[in-house]
Amino acid sequence: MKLFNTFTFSTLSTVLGVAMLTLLASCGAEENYPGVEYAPQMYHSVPYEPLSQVVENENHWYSFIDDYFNTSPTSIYGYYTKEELAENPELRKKVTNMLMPPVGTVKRQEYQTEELQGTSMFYEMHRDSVELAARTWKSPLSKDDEQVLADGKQLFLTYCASCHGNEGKGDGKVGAVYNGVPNYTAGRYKTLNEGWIFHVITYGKGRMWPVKVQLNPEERWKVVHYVQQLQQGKP
Amino acid sequence: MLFKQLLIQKSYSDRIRSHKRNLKRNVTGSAFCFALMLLVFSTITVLSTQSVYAQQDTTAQTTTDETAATTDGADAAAGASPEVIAQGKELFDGNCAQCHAVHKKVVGPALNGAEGRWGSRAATINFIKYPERTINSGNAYAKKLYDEYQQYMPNHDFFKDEQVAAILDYISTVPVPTAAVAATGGDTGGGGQEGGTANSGLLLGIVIALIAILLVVALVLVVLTSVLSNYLKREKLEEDENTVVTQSIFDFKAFFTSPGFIGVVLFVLVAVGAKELFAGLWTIGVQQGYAPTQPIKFSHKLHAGLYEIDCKFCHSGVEKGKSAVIPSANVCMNCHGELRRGSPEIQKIYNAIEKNEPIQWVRVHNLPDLSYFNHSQHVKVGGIECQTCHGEIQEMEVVQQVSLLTMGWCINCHRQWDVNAKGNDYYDNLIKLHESTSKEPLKVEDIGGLECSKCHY
Repeated sequence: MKLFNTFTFSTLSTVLGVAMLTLLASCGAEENYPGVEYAPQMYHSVPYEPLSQVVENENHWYSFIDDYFNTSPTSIYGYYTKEELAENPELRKKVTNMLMPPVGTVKRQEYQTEELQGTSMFYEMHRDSVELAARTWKSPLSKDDEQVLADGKQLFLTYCASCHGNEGKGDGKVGAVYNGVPNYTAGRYKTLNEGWIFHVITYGKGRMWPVKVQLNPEERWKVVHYVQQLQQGKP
Repeated sequence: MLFKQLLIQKSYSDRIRSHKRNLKRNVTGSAFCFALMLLVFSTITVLSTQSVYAQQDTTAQTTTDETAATTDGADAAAGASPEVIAQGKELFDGNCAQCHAVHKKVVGPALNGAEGRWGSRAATINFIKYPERTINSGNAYAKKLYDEYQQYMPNHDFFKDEQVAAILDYISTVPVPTAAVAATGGDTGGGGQEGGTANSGLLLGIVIALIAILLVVALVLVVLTSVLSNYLKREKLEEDENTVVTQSIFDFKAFFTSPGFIGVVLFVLVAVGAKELFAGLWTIGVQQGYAPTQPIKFSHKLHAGLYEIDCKFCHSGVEKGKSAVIPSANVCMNCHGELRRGSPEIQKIYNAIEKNEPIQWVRVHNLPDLSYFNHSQHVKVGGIECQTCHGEIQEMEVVQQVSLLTMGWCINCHRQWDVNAKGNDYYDNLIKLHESTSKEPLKVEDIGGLECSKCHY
């Protein structure tokens, strides 16, 4: 009888142990599952948090608890899975945080303060007016300022070098598959002036697309000054 | 008496004969086993050597392909002197390359064989210098080009004739790049992978072979014991001998029910269970290893790894604000407005743009709202590399959360990290103050990196 008891006990503990392990194994994050959260309502931002997928899901089975305690429920895992989103376009609209800006929002490019008015930091030249830009558009920054050139170099290496190459010779790794990347240090490109370069960064030219979203006017001027160094063959 | 003696002798000889027979059976059995082992071994060896040779073969083939491609180019180049070709290359890069490639249609047509299409060098040079005039003069081929591309090439009348000739010479020397590049690129990548798999395959083979040997040995032993015990059972043995033969070597029942065994099993179970329980509890709220499938199969390995595009090109907010920013579709268009337009994955970006719908990227790193984190403070001011927290992103096909992102993880780094004060006036007085009391370098901890309200407010 004693023997029987010990056997039952050990079997029971084994079964319990295995059950416990399988339960806990589902707490950690996996490929498409971020894992169990201890306090989702403290984790998920109520105000705008860029690109998060968290939404309220009032149709969940335990929503009566939330109704009772008047708390805001979330999806079963705290997040909707990709499968749930793929199947349900309505959910997709609701789930995203990338919403249209509120009515009356002014585009950043068209936003100008009194200080910016009429300066080279606010660019309203039409995209086809590259020649006009070349003739009239002048840099507000000093081209001999070392800080400007250092910043310009950093910006150039980040935003331009993958196509144009570290020395502007059009030999970047992306440029090699892109095709149509000019060499700043040769031919006509040696002589292009600052207004022209600024305009091309803003609106693109030929196969190049605009980079104005990533670079604000001041940063564009810094890049322009660094590019003018490269045209002289001084990286 | 004699008869009895004979009988005894016969029984003895019978016994010996049966013994021999058994022995024979045993020998054939073990011989069969050894043959099996040999077979397994030789198969494994042959397989592994074959895979190694196969690998060598592919690399050898690639190198020959490459040399073939380059010699082709060299043959064609024989016409002009190297100086002229070098001059032509410089002129081509500076004046033509932004619209033309040699073997690929870009903005304008591929220039390979242009001279042949125009018929003569003089006609080609004339067209390059005055394209609009040639087209309007009614030249049939020029008209055809204009119909295809719907735009005039700008005049290149600033060129001298010999400069254009140098460019044409250079063009004729450029070898077909795409095939060779694709072959080498693909093969080196594939070769590396193949090497990895072949290696692991060899290891796996060795392990399987060892297991097979163990199994075979165990089988041989079982066969031997059963044969021997069968043989002994058939014999009439003395009482004491019989007890020795039939006695079981190990009393399993007594062993498994002994309190010692049960105690050890219980202890192991409880210990492992407790360890797993705590490990499991630790993973609650920790999303390390989360690697969600994204709506578009964007590969960081390709973009940041192979093409070495700076992280900041797309995540341009990283130096300017709290969030590193997932790029909007127009940033993708910076390259994919022109590049690989046919790919089904890139088609998804175009669809999103046409429908004016955002792409539903899934955020991988979800820091709880109860703690504040600012990218610009760490990247711009602190000068920390992206990889310090995000792991080897440039090698990830699908992005995975590598770091814990727990409070302990943050605090630990704040205790160890030296403040990046170089060239930053803000820290001058702080460093002076710190140096008056301590000889250690200024850590994040020393400027309030462990204050609760720095992150929780």
